[in-house]
Amino acid sequence: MGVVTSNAQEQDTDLLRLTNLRKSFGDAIVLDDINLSVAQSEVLAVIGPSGSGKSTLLRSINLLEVPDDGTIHLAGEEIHYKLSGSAWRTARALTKLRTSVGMVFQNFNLWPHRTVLENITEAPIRVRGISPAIARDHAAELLNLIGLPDKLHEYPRRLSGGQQQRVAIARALAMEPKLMLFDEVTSALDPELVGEVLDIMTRLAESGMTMIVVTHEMGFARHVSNRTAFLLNGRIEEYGASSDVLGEPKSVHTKQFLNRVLHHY
Amino acid sequence: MISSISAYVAWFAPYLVGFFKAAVVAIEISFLAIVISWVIGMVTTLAKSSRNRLLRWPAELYIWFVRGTPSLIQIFIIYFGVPHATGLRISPFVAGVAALAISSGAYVAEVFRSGFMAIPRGQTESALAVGMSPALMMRRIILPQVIRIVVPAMTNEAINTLKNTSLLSTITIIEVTMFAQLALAETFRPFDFLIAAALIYLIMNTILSQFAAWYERNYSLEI
Repeated sequence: MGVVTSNAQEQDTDLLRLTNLRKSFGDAIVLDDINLSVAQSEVLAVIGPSGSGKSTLLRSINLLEVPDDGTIHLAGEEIHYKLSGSAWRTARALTKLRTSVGMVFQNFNLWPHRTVLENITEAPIRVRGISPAIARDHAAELLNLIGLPDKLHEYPRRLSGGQQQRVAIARALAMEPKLMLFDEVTSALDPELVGEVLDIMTRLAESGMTMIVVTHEMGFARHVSNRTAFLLNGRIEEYGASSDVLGEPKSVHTKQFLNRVLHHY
Repeated sequence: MISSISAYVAWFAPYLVGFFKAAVVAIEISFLAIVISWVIGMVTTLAKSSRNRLLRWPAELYIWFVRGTPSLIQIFIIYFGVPHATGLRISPFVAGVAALAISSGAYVAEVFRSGFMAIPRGQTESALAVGMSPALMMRRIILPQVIRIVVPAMTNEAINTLKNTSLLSTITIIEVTMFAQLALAETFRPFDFLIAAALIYLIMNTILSQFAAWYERNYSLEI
C-alpha cells in the first residue's frame, strides 16, 4: 500500500498528467498503474532501487517505450496508449510529442560524427524547420548558458563526460521543449564532473523549466526538486513534497531505501 | 645491357596498349559491380533485419547461397545457365557485371550489418527523442556513422571484386587475365605476361586502397 498525497485542485495547471500507466515486459510488470502529475515549472525527482521502473516511466513519456495501457496528458494534448493505430502512432503526432519533450540520457548519446554546434542545430533545422542562421545563433546562446562557448566546432570525443552531458542538455533545450526528462544523467560521470551537470540543471529549474529527474543524487532531489516520487516494483510507493518524502518518509520501504543510499559506509 | 633493356621495352611496348585497354575493361566492370553491390548489400541487410519474414527469408537465402558457392559457378550460371533456361540473351559484359555484383552483394550485406550493429542503441534513441522520423534518423545520424565504420571492410570487398574480374576471362571478356593469356599464347612467354598482369592488378588495387586510406583519414571517427 503506497502513501500518496496529491492535490486535486492543481489538476488544471498540470503540464503533464499520467493516468493508469501500465507496462509489462513478458511476465514482468514494470509499471503497475502509475498515476502522476507534474505542474508547470515543477521539478519532480523520481527515485527508487534499480529495476523499480524509473527509466521505463521516463521513457514512456516520450514513447521511447510504449506502455500497454494508460493515458498521458501533455499541455492539453491527450494520448491514449491502448488505442493502437490511433493518432499517436502517426509520425506527425509522435514528432509533436517528442519535440515538446526534451530528454537527456545517462550516456549522453551525442552524435560522434557531428560537431557540438551540429549536434545542437540538427533537430531544430531538420525537424522544426528553423533557418540554419537562427538555429546557429540559438545554439551559441545555449553554449554560453552551459559554459562552453568555445566548444562550438569541437567533436564530442574531444570533450569530457561532463562537457558532453552539458552539450546533450543544450541539444534537448534547442528544441524549446515544454518538459525536460533527465534519465540518471550523472550516473556515468566521474564524481568530480557531476557538479557541473547538476549546476546546469539547477539553473534550468530556477529558470522555470518543468523537469522530471530520475536520479540517485539525493542532495539534488532534496534541494532542487519540489516533489519526489519513490518507485518500488513498478508502483509509486510514496509521493509528495521532496522535503517530506526525503526528510520524513512515511513508508518503511522509502526509509530503508534512503538509509541504503545515504549511508553506504 | 642498355641496348638489351631498350630492345625488351621495344618488344613489349605494343602489348602495353592491349593491357591498358584490358585494364579499362576490368575497371569499368568492377566499378559498376561495386556500386551495384552496395545497393544490393544495403537492400539485403535492411531486408534481413526486417521483422517481416517475406523480406527476411529471401535475404537470408541469397546470402546463404552466394557465400556457399564459388564465384566462378555463379558467373557460369548467369552467363551460360540463365540464357539456356530462359532464352534471354545476355552479353558477356552485362553477365560479368551482374555476376560480380551479386557475388559481392552478399558479403557487402554482412559488412553493412556489422556496421549497423556497431552503432549504440543510444544513437537511435537520442535521434528519435528530438523528434526525428526513422527515415531522417537513418539518413542523418545512423548511415553516416555506419559508412565510416565499414570503410575498411568495404575496401577489402572492393579489392576482391576487382581481382575477381580475372574470372571473367572464362566468359570471353578481354580483361587483364584474358589479355595476358592471349599474349602468352602468341609469344610463349608466360612469365613476362603473367608478371605484367600481376603488376597491373597490383597498381589498380594500390590506387584503390590509397583512396580508401585517404577517405578513412579524413572521415573516420573513433566512436
